[in-house]
Amino acid sequence: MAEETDKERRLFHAHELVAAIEGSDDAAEAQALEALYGLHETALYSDLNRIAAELKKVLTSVPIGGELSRIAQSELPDAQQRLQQVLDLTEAAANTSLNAVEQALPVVKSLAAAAKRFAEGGSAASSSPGETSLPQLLGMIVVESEVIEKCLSDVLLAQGFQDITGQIIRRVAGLVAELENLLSRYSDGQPVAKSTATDQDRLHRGTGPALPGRDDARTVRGQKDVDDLLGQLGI
Amino acid sequence: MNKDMKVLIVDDFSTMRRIIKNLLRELGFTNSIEADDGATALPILKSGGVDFLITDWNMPNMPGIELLRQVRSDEALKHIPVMMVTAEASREQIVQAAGAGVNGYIVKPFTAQVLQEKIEQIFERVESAG
Repeated sequence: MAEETDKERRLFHAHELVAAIEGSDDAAEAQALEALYGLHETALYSDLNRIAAELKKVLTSVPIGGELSRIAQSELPDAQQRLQQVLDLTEAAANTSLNAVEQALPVVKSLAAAAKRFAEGGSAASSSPGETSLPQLLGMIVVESEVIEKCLSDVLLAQGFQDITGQIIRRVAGLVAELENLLSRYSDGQPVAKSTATDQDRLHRGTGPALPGRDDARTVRGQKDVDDLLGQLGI
Repeated sequence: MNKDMKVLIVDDFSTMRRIIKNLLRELGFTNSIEADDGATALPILKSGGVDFLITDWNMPNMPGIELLRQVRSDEALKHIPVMMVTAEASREQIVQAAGAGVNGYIVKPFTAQVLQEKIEQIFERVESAG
């Protein structure tokens, strides 16, 4: 077959998901869900590109402005950058998790091997070559447990990407819905009211994660900046 | 600092609530409860027993800044230390939160160490203020 269609890819991952759920295979279930989620992201990204191109065509042929111009000129390019940000964040989180797993697995294996050597040695005080004594084994467990704990903590924190990317995707999805509504009103010849939301309203609700490069002037660069600012305010 | 204190974690993303809950457990705080936005958090706070509030900013129905203002304007709740853990990173918002009486502000993504430092800092100040 020359190329798999989107439908076939979705069906393939959906079958995988069903099989994983039926087989109680949590890892395979998570993998299938992630694959489906990835397809959704890709579709959203290409939808946005298509809408932007169509919008540009409309704007050059019909003298309309206002809300649509604002969205076409400012919001849509931002949305594309934000989806790129989602790709970057998911990749970084996956790499952090994989690095931690790759670091922890050999540690677990070496501990298991040492425990096995000790069990086969049969003596708590054994120190002959190739055997592991109980004090050695306990010492290893204490040291290596800290490594494993650090790795698991890294995996835990890396999952924060879901919150941050979720906020970005929600914002872009809102923009696509707003655009669809606007285009539909334009095409029906209905009047389009200018958005009445002020910057203060947007800040009150929250604007989501900063967009590096665009929001730099008004945002802090990290926790140290926050601490400095709060320090100046006496907190 | 009393490690048995009841902590209310408010965030609309359940993954972030789980992350914070797990980090708190690692730090010895095992008594935590959750709410998914300000509107569901407020009745929990009003029912009493919450000693520390950790809240996101950007949430549906009632954002974290509004929850903070409601807490500070309620005689029964205004003493509760409040820490924001949020992706909202504009200087104006941080100034607003400070003006509304926030005790600590952490920007996402954050580390376990930052969470620990800020909690310790908040309770050192609260306890020394008496």
